[in-house]
Parts: sequence; structure tokens; C-alpha cells
Amino acid sequence: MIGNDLVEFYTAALQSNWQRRGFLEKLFSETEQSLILNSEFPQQKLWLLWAMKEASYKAHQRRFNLPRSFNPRQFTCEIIQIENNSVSGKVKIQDFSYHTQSDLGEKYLHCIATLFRQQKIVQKISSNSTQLKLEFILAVSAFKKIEIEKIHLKKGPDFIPYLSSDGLAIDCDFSLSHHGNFSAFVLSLTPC
Amino acid sequence: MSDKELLERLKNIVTPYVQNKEGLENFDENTDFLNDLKINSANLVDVVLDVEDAFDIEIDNNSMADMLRVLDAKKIIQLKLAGK
Repeated sequence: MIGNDLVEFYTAALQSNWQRRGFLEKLFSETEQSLILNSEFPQQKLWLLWAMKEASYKAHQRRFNLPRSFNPRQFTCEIIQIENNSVSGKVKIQDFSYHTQSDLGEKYLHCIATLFRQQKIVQKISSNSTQLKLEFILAVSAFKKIEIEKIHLKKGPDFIPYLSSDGLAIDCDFSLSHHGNFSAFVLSLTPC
Repeated sequence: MSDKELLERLKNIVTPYVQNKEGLENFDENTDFLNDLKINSANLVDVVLDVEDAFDIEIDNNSMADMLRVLDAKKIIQLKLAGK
């Protein structure tokens, strides 16, 4: 299972006042809060941990068909390694855990959560959401050997997007994300 | 507090975070914060904090987990007000 999350720094700074009373406490554990507050770049660290939680939440929710829930504190983050602008991490929820791989860009950060460490994926980030959707359908078409015109992106009863072809759901592990000016998709090439 | 009054106060609280302003025109108990109003998930915490301040209540993590629709928020607020 796969999940992803994208945070555009500019939009995040406009939308959220992370220094308001209670903000960090509602989202992060004490350990995570001190990681953020002791960081040289607290906002970057905050959104990194947030994206790790969100991406893992998406993977976890799809894996077990869970109803929606806003429970970020149940997902606890651990940063394993930071190399240049790439951060590998681990997120735990109850007895389950997910691997996360995050890329810190100049304008945004993007995190992918997977069940397995070496999961084969296709991913793309773009400021053109229409173009990105098209490229996503193309990637699915190539992977699943289904004609592009037959692939439709839909939303399920629990608002989780899914793909269908000829009225049937396509068995496909993917995740979409959008924030501010950027959109992203990740598609797992490992059979689900 | 009447249901109508509660919903009105709730509407005022969420308005600054709403990205789909059209969703506010049909604001009722079935309105979904994420899907109808397109509130960014990180801003859900602001909604929770603003509700705490406006109604002088404390929303624990379990209650926060369920606050995804207007109806959920209304129930939680009423429950917490009753327990004051």
C-alpha cells in the first residue's frame, strides 16, 4: 500500500499559524514537538513530520479500508536518515509501521509512505494539475495495459479516489496529493 | 443554545479556512469540512482550536478524530457543553 503528501511552504505559511497555542500539541507527540522546536528550520521540520503522518495515514486507511479519522497524534514519526534533501523515516500506528521517503524541495516537500522499503513506484510532481492527471492516467495505462480512454478516476463513498474501467474498479495502488500550486501522484508498480 | 445558533457560530468559525466558498451557501449538518468546504487537513486543527476558544470547551483527541462533518462537530460541542 502507498500514500503520499505534498506541502507547499508558501501556502502552508499563509494557511497555518503553527505558533498559535495548542497547534503543535494537537498534532504532535512531545518527542516530535521537541524535534520541531529544536530544529534550525522549525517550519520545515513541522511540515516534514506532518507530511510523514499524512502519507502514512493514506496508506494505512487504504490498506484496511478504514473510515476517515483526524488522528495525527496516533501516527508517530521517527527520522532515520537525512541525506542532502532526502529524508528516510518510519511512522508507527498501533502495531503497524510504514517506511517514508521525503524530498525537501525549495518550494515544497513531498513524502511517500510505503509498506515495504523497496517498493517500485512511479511518481510525478507538477504545477499543472490537468497535465499531471493526464500523465497519471498514462502511467496507469502503461502499467495495467488498459486503453487510456477507458480509464476513469472516481471517488468512492469514503471519498477515497479509485480507478475504473468498463464500470469495474481497477486493482491499482496509488495516491494523489495537492497543495497550493502543486499536485503529485504516486503509483505502485508492485502488484497489490 | 438552539441548533440554529450553534450552526451559525460554527459556520463563522470555519469560514476563514474554507477554500470552496460555494460550499458555504448550503452549509448544514451534512456539510463535510474536507470534501464540501475543501478545508485543508492541517487547518482542521485550527477549526478545533477555534471551537475550543469560542465555546470554552476542551476537545480531546478522540473527539477531534471524529470532527469531519458539521453534524459531528455539533454533537461534540453539545456533549462538551452539557458536561460543563
